[in-house]
Amino acid sequence: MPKRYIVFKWVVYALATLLLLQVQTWVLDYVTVWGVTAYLAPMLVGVVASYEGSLAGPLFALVLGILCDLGTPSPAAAFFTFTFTAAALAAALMAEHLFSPGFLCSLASTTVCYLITALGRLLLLGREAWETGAYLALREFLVTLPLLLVVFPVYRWVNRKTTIEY
Amino acid sequence: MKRFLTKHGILVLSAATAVAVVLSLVSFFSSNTDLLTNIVNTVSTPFRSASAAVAEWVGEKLRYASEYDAMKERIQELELEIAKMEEQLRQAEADSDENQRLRKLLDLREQQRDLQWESARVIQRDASNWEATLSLNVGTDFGVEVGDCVITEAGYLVGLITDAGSNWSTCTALIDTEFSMGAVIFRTGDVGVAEGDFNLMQEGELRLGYLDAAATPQVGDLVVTSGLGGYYPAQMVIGYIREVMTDDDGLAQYAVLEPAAALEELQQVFVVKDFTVVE
Repeated sequence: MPKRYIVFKWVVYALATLLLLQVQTWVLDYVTVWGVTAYLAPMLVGVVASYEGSLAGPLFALVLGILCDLGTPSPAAAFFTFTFTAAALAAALMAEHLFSPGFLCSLASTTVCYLITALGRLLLLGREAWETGAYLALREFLVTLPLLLVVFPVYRWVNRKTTIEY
Repeated sequence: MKRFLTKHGILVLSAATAVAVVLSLVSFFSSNTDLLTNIVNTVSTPFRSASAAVAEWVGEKLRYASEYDAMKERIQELELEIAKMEEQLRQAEADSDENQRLRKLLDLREQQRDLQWESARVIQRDASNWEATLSLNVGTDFGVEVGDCVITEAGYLVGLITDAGSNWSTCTALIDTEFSMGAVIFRTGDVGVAEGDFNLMQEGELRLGYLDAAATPQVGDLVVTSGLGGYYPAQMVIGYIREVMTDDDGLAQYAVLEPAAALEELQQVFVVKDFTVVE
């Protein structure tokens, strides 16, 4: 694929991601359901990884992780950098070997990403907080999951519009 | 699987590890906020401020429509409360005059409470459910520093500044697990440590621990900052005791505190940059 198409594709991906992160800031941060607010970032990682495979997907996750570490409170230095990249790798592996790209594949990838991010968080918490942490992670995942109906079409559109077969 | 890992996995994970090491080192060796964090937040703060302003405006309109009747009732309740408080104020003024006369008789220093603060707007609440932080639109350009206290207009403690850049700062709320501050039960003078607890954070509460065995906390007791050591101002309201509990080992007791500040509704706060308190 020519370089300019690759640049164009990732600029569009970046804009779509920015738009979705704005939805988080403008709307989701202000809406509490079941005691939690929806958290989109692992879903963005999961869906992009399911479309872009085992190199581009994790690299996207790496960049998003670095930005999250620098721009938002993080439980440990480079927490999001590491967990998002690992999650994207696992999601891409699953997408390449178990599913063909589509809604089901994105759903499975997203689930893996939330699972790995939650495991990372639980490891940093003391054992006495594991039960509460696991319950919180489950609620966060279930509250965010319906938003896949918004995130998935956005990235599918970006993928279709920017992928050229050679 | 093996091909996948050797093809891309090791490469990407190595890149992530390298970035993680760099970020950790930069964070470790920076006495204040590191350069990268400062750049990202400085650039994003104007956008977050604009987003917060729009979201606040929309929220205000929605609240006005849905809560009009409840607000009318609340106004009536508050009017009654004000009448009671005015009576208490008159009594307090008389007590204060008497206190001043007695201090002069005993040759004590005058009580003084002087806070130098900076007004700030909350431009973002933490996006995750795992921390309790607020992003503020003031930073080191306004004299805000890491370790400064953040309070509401009523003087209720909100948290501490834990990160500050040129035009932004992060306030770790008092229910966050990173928060810890000396506290005292106003009624009894018992000293303890008010600290965030992950389990209690989910309920919007915090813990008053390290209480003396002889302490007698009661439900409803007011808890304020102790000011011991002079790092933070004394007598700032932290919250009220909701429950008195015994530790798992059965030896010590602790109290569950309900913060006085309504953390979910904060839009404007005040950062205490400097203070003089004479008790």
